[in-house]
Amino acid sequence: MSKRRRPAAARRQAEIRFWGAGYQAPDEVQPIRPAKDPAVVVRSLGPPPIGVDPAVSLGHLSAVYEEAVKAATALSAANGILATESEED
Amino acid sequence: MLAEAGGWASQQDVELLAREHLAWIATLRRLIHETDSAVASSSSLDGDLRVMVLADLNSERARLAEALARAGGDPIVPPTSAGQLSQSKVGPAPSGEDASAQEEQARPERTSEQAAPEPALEVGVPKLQVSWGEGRVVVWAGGPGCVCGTEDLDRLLEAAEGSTIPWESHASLSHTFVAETVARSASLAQTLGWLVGIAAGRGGDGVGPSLRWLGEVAVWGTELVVKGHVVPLLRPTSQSQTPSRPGPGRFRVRWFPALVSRERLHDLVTRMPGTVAALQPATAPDAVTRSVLSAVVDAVARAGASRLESPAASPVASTRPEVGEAFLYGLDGKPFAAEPEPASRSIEDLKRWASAVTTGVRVGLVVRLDPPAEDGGWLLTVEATGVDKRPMAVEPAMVISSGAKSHQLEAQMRRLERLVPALKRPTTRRGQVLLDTDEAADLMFETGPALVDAGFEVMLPLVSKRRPNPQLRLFAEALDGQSQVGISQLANVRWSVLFGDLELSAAEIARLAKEASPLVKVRGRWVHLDRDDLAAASAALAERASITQMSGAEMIRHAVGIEGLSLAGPVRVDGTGWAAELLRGATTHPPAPIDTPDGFAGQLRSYQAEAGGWLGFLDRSGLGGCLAMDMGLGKTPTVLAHMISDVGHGPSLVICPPAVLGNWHAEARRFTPRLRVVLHHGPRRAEGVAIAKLAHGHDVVLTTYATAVRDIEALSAISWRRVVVDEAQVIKNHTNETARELRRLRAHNKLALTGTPVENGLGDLWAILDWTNPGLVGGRSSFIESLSRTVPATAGAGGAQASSRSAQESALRALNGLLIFRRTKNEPEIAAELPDKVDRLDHCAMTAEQIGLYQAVVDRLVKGDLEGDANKRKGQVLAAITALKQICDHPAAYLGDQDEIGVLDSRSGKLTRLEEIFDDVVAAGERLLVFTHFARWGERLAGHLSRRSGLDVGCYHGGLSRSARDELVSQFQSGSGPGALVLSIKAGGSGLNLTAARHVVLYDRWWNPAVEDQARDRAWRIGQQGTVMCHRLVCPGTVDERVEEIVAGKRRIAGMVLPARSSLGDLEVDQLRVALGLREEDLVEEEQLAAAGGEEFAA
Repeated sequence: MSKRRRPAAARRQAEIRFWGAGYQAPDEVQPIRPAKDPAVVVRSLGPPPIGVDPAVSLGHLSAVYEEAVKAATALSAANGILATESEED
Repeated sequence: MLAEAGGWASQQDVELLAREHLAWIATLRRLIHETDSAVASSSSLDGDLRVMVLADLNSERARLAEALARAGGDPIVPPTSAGQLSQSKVGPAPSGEDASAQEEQARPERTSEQAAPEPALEVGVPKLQVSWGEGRVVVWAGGPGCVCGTEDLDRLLEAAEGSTIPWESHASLSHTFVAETVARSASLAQTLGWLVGIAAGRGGDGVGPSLRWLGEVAVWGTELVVKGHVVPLLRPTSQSQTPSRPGPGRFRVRWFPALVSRERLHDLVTRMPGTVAALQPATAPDAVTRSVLSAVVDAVARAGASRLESPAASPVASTRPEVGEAFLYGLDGKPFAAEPEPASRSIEDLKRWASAVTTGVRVGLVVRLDPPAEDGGWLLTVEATGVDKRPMAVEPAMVISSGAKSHQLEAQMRRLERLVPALKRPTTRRGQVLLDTDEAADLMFETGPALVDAGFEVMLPLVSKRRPNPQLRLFAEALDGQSQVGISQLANVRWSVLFGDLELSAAEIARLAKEASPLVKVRGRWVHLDRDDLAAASAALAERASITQMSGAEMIRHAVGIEGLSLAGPVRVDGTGWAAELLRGATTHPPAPIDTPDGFAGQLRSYQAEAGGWLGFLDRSGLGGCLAMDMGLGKTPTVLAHMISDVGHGPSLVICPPAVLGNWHAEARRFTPRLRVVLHHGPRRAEGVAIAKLAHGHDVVLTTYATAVRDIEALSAISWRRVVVDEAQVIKNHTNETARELRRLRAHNKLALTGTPVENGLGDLWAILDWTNPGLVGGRSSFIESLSRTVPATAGAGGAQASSRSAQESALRALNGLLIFRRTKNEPEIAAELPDKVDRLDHCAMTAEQIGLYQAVVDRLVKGDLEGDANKRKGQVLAAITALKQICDHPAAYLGDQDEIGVLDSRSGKLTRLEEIFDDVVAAGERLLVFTHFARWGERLAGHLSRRSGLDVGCYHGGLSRSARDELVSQFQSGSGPGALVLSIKAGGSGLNLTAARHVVLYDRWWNPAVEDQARDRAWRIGQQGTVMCHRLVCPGTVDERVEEIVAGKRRIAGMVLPARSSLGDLEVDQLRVALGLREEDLVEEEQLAAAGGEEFAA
């Protein structure tokens, strides 16, 4: 079986893509603004259909969302990308 | 309609439906969606019941679908196979852990092939690269044309601050463009903080594009969790993915991103360097991107969930509720065992449940709230985007859309209706409802922002997020034809309440108070008024309804809160008349800072220029005031600058303690040499009518409190431009003779200067303000009571003291800019202007006892037998000088054990001055160093200060052991709150670090200025946070001053020119008398203060 020879230009293109030459990261990370109501998305879906009392399941989910948001907020704050009050306004 | 669907509708029914064609289709669609949901919900049923229910529902759905077809609507495809009995089994996910994400997100098109300038490869420069493989982060060193080894990887990891991550060995990496290279890997959770930091700009130049890219994804994932844009789903673990495996399987919760922005995803996919996928070259970039993003949100959300303690679930979940419990308690990702059948049903149900936010959403909903018309409620409408070119009402949008869009619209609408229950009310049109004021307020201030977080577009009327604080407003109209002006001028007054810019009358407040959520429009923005605020405003207006007339003084008291605060703030006074105009001049249009006036030799600092503006305001209004700038901020030059700018309007009288009289004179000469300043002090001062003549021949007359009291008859006969009392705490006791007599002075305005206007409490402040403006601030008791009431009681130990301090600070704030000009060194903008040290010479008086002892020592020296031998003679002179310096310090310092009086009070001008400085420092909660040459005197001084203050003031001297000295320094440095330490200059003048002190007193002088500077520099050194104030105490007309002259480098001592190489031992008797003797013309003699109310100086 003959092997088709790859043109040099195509190889160069592929190599550029591979190494990410010319990669442009954003100049500045957009500050992250914490949600005031972390569980609003999950509440909009209603209680999960898992055969558990809806009040219990939504209550527990909301508590977990609070903690998840706290963990993510701490991660953002530790790296200086959490929006300050003035940035939120 | 149901009749038509069921096949028993009459012709009339069908014609009626045809007339409302759109509504017919919309309702059928709604019913079909509801049936689909019911089918989905029925999956929670078990056994035969489930079979029966599903059969009914499927039949109903079929009828509705046929009816929809008859009505001409597009068919609705059932969302999943939920309408059939579930046949799904646990098995391998389509593509491992990332299956859900891959099937739930639309794949964007690649655009990287689009024409763009070709970037250049940076050959031979290794960078830190990462690849994504099997859910782990794999690091390696590489770059175009590079062959890298372990050292390169270690070096790059170190430089990128990633060397502390517990990397594990990984199979070496090779690729078409990479020679085989060493690699290491770590879990995403272990690298997440590092990746976010890389995206935030850390890591340096050695970070390769792949690592930067992964950092970007990590930040996005973190942001999704921060916003709550994640959902938990159930997945089988990899151990459960063997089809033939019998018995219970292993499952775990996995968190997935929700409401993912297609544009952002597309951007990241197109920018992904190939190195990221070096371990899985066959996988498309969008799959890799989704995989990483999913892994990030899963790692972060699980970390959060693991913070909550959950009860243990059943060992093996065998029913659907047990699986549900295991799901809830396993949100941290811990695997659990479950029977395959109920688990697989839960997997499918959860997938459907979350699909509204995990499926690539192509339609959107816009929630719009329109303000009410004259008589109607607030109209809430929901519009759909992505259906037509422009947003359209959601109901027709549902009619015209079909397929996936139809489902998505329905799903989004249901999400919205759960968050805005008013949308579920029966209305003529779905997605359109009238809200009452309470609902509108809730939407504008609470639910609206949450809807945005939930992925909806929200268009609300402009609102003001800040809740306006109510403030009482008093509108004054001066009565015509009054002879009274100033504080006695009467005016008619009208009351209202301001909520920000909105003024409300009592009637308007009463109307709004009846509404559950009062909304008002102010300058185009809707404002939510608090009902409690409205009730308080109503009560405040009712309380004052009968007050319709007021004097100027009463209005001022209301404005500054002396008449008690209402609605948590002072009253705003507007209108016409003396008080309104005065307040406008102080608050609404505060006086501008002055330029440095002609004739002032110096540059005013900004706060001094502001103080100058305020002093001008006092002059214009005829008010008195208290210039309460902290010690060291330059009250004296500020007042002198004002005096020179106002020169020619009559003489000013400055009354101060003897210790600062010389300082006033010196500063006047230095800063305002053109001012004609005269000292009115001492036995040779002018008397009777000569005082008036003296005053009218000068711009400023300087005198002491005791002299002013003695000469009060003559001084009170003069009409002064202004009277200034410096160190105004002297008049804080309004019942003493000094305070009473000084009230007799007549002046255009009276000014009190002090750095501690509330040294002991608000009574001090009242005494000062009542002296500057008699009658204006009302009675003492009501003043204290009103201003104390503004501060809530503080419970607990030390609460009373803290509360008292807060009350004082509140009072100063309330009065600041009107009756008080308060500035402190701790204000950042002021601290920025201050030099890091301020040296000040304090001229201290001599008591009669000091003068007598001093004279006796000089007489003994010059009348006694002086040795002929120059060396011995020099020794005699130096001993006399030491004795004289001790006498200047205090008679007890000279007499030592022979001192029969015992107590130290009121026997030394220097000690009196030190006590004043010490009190100011303690009142400010700061720390002080006192240096003296005489160790034994230092010990007595420390004991004296301890006794009078109750603080533990130590003395550091050479007689103490090394450990005792170290302990003293350590205690002083580590202590908090006010404190002082006395030091012998020989033992403690060098080498120590005493930066806890911001104040230094050099109690006696030394010939060598470097020694004094070294002592001061114990506090003024690295680690000092504020300006160091250094006071050097000098008794004018004594040997102290001769020392000062020598320190200043002068060879002219007491008017006598010394030969170039002479010393005091060479001087003849007459020369010695001149050099060491008292110069009466310079001497500041301590006065009989007790007779003039001078007990204020004593402890």
